[in-house]
Amino acid sequence: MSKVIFSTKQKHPVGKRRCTFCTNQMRDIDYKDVPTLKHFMNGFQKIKGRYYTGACLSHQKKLSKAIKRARHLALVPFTN
Amino acid sequence: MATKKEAARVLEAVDRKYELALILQPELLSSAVEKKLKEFEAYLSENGASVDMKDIWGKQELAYPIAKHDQGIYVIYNVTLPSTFNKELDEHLRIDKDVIRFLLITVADDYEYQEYEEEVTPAETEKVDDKASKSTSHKADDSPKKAEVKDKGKKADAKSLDKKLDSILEGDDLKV
Repeated sequence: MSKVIFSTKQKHPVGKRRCTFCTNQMRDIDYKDVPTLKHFMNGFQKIKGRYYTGACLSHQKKLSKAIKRARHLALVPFTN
Repeated sequence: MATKKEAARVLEAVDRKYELALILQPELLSSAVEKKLKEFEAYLSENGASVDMKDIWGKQELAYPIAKHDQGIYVIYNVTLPSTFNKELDEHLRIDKDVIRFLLITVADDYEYQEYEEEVTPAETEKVDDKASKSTSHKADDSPKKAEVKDKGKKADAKSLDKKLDSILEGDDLKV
């Protein structure tokens, strides 16, 4: 799989934003995929909101679930 | 009532794909880990489960201490289990003292296991390179400059220092 560049900076206004997972055709988000999960976490290791991630609702839910699973397995910290 | 029971029986027979992640104690030796996993696989096969894939990540740092351990041995299985076996397996793993944590999740039928490598972000490498180059350059640049400065100072003050020394040596202060 080619490398996907995730950016959580707001480049576009709200109406014109597109979900990065949808555009890259990623159906599922894996809890073992720590480097991509870290893009969507805060400096305090909190899950970023949809306003910042730009993900669609279904993908945001999958993302939060994946991060919570990774936290349970100590792949990612709860807090910093 | 009979219909409900029959329905339950039909549900019991379903086999599903699962992904099972285990974290074992870090103090186990590699031979002990193999023995442990063999026993576990035997236990799975006794209960009508089959192992599709097995991946041992090895010893890794935990993000936070679990049961006073800072490290853990990660093992990941892809298995097909009869759906009624879930609770029993949960109980079995919870009681096991060598298993610190585990996660059992259902997975789609066309799921394929993927390995993910940790990204080395380009910014970090650049920073490291910069630091290295800066440190080397600083050392290379600064040391001769400082030496030159010192030399200049010495040269400039050499005559006056000599005079002072002579005066001190000749003076009566030292003879006391």
